[in-house]
Amino acid sequence: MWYGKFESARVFELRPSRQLLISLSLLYVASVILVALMLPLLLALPVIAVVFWRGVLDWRCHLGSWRIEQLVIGAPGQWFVRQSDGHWREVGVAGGSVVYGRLLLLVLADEEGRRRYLALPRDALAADAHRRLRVLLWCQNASSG
Amino acid sequence: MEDQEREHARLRWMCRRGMKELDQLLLGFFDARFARLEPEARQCFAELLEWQDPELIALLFGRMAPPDRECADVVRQIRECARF
Repeated sequence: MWYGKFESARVFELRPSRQLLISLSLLYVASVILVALMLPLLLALPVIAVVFWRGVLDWRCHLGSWRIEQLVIGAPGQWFVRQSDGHWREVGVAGGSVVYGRLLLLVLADEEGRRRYLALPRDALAADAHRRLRVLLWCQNASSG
Repeated sequence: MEDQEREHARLRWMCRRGMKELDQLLLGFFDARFARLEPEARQCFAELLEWQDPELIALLFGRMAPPDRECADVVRQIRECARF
């Protein structure tokens, strides 16, 4: 692979997360129900349309063609992601990323400054890979103060 | 020589902790860099291994300041090793 040029590239294979799918589905269904119950029909319809559109975008990002399938860390600060559609992007981890034991929520920014959230629950990675990524991010956060 | 090997094995064993995150961090550092450390840094690393897990985690993940400059340098190297 092209990232072989890095002496010790770390490659993380990401898989579709069932936990994320269930959480997002519940969130969107609950949002639609709340809006339908609390707003009059004429107001509720456009809000539900927006929620639905957001849901479609989220679905594409986390499970569809924009889903990130592979994360490669070539060297400190050199991160690359491969989407399901085969596109590679160089990204940086922006501030605001959250690292918990069971969930990594990364804010990735590409060269053009576009931001993208990458949610990685435990089942999105092999257990050992999740731990390695967690430790790496903790150390990175600690080093950057 | 034998004593040194025994000490190496003892320290490597002490890198095994209750938390897998710490195992990964300490064993990774030990295997990759310990042999190349200066004697003072080795001593400092050996002293760190005597710490309890929660204190080590706080130190390595930046929630506690290192007690001295030598220790700060070892901590920096451990973190660097985890990042690469």
